[in-house]
Amino acid sequence: MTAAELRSLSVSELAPLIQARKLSPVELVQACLRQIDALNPRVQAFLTMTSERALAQARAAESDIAAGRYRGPLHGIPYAPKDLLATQGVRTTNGSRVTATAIPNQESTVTARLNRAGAIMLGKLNLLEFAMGSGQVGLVAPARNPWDLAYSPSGSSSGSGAALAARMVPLTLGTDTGGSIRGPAKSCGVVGLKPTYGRVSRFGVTSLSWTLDHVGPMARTVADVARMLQVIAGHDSLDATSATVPPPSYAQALNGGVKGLRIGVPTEHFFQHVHPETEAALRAALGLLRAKGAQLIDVKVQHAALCSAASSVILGSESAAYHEKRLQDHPHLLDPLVRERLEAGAFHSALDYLKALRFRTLLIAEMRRVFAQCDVLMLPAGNAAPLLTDEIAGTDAPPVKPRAPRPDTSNLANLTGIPALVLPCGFTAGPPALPLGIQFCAKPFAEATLFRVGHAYQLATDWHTRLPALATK
Amino acid sequence: MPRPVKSAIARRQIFQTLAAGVAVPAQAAAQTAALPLDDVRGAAQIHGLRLSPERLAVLRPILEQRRQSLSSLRALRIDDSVEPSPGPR
Repeated sequence: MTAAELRSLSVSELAPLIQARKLSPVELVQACLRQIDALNPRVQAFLTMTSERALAQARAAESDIAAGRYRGPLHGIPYAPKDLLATQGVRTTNGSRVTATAIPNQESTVTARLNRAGAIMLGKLNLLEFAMGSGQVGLVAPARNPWDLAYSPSGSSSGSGAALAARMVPLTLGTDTGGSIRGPAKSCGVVGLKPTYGRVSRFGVTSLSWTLDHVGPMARTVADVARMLQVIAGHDSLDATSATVPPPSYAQALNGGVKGLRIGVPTEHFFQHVHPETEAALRAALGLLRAKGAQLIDVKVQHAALCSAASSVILGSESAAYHEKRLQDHPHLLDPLVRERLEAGAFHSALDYLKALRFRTLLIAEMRRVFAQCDVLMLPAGNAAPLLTDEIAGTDAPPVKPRAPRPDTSNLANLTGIPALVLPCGFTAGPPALPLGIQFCAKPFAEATLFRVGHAYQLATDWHTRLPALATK
Repeated sequence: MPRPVKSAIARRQIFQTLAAGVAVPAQAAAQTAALPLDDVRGAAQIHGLRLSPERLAVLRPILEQRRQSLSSLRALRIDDSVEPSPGPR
C-alpha cells in the first residue's frame, strides 16, 4: 500500500489492519509525518510537531500489539489536538504571543483519554488566538484551506479542519463556543461534532466562555467521529460541569438507518440569506434522506433570531472575565481583534448578562418542544462557501461597505447545549470548487441519533471521500 | 474632532442606559446618530475600566453597533417566573 493510499483510509479501515498486524503504527505515523512535512509550510495547520515522541509511541504500540496488548480501535492511530488543550510537557500556545512558551504541567482530560487508548499525538494544531482572534495576527501565519489556499478554513479550530482535509492526520480535536468546530468542518469538507454540554470534559482546555465552550472530535467520516467520541466522552470529576449520563455504544448506533426518523426542517429564519447553491445542496441532502425512509417535518424555533445577541453577551462577558488579567498585563501582545473584543466585553452590564441567561432558559424549553416533534433538526452549516483569507475582518467595527447578512446557525446549539454534527453535502460550482456542509442537531445526549443520520448519509454519498488536489501527491 | 450631531435623545439618557444596561426603545435607538465619546468614557468609568482616549475611539463604533444588535434582546419581555439558566441543557 502506498503512503497516499494509507492516508486515504478512515480510522474504521485502519484499525482492523493495525489489530491484525497487517499495518504497523510506525508506517502510518511516518506516512502522516511525511505529508505534514510536505504541506504544512503552505497549509500552516500544525503549530508544534512532536514527531520524535510520536515515532517512539508508534514503536511502543507496535510492540504492545505484537505482544497481544491491543487496547482498542484507536491504538496506533495518529491524532492532533487544537493548541487550546493542555498537553503535559508540550507547549500549549493558545495561538497567542502571550502564552507562546507556556509548557503545562498537566494534561487535558480529553488528550489523556486518547493517549490511554493508544492514540498517538503528532503535534498541536493552529487556531485563532484564544479561539477568538481574526487569524490575521497571531503566533504564526493563519491556517489555509487545502481546497484552495487563498481561502480560509474558518475558525477557530482552523488547523483541525485543514489538517484533516490535507490528509495530514485522520483524527483531530477542536473546540466550539459559537461554531468553531462546525465552521472549519464545513469549510474543509470534513465532519465535526459539537457534543452535548457536559458530555466531554473541558478540564485542561483554555476557556473562552465557560458556559458555551465544548470540546469535540473531528474526522473525515461520521464513523470515525463516533469512535473518537466513544473514547473521550464520559464523566470527569475534574470538570464540575461534566455530566454523569453514561455514554452509549456509538458504534451500535451507526447502522440504525434513517427509516422512520423524523427530521425537522426549519420554516423560517435559518434559511434567510442562505446562498442558493448552499440551499440547493441542503434540499438535495434532505431529498436523499427522505428517499431512504426519513420523514421531513416543518418546524419553527421561536426566538431563533435572538441567539446571536444572547451569545454575544454571554461570550463577551465570560471571556472578558476570564482574560481580565491577561488583557491588563499584555494588551499589546494580543491580536487587535482579541483586545478589542475583550475590552468591549467588559462593557456588558450584569442586567444584559442575566437577560441573556433568562433567554437561554426560554430557548432550552423551546428546544424541548421542538424535539418533541422531531428526532433531529436540520440546519445549514453556514450560508455560503468559505471566505477568502484576505476578506476576514480584523475588527468588529461596522465596515464601510456593509457585509452580506449571515444567519446565525451555530449559537443555538451552544446556548442550549444540544449536540450538533456537521458533515459535507456538496461543493460550490466554482472555480474554485469549495465544500458545503449540512448540520444536524438533536436533543441532549442524543449524539447516537446524529451518528445514525450522518452515517446513513455518508453511505449514500461520496462527498467525504473527495480529496483536495494539493493532497493527492 | 468634530462634535457629533446632537440627537433627540439626551446624552444623559444614553449614559444612564449604558451604565444601567436598560433597554433603549427601538425608536429611540434609531434616532440616535452615534454614541458620543464622552458617554463611552463615562460608561467605562462606571464599569471600572481604564481605557485611553485612543482605545475609547476604537471601541465607540463597536459599542454603538452592539447597542443596536442588543435592542431586540433587551426589548424581549420575559415572564417573572423565568430564572437565569445556570448552564446549558
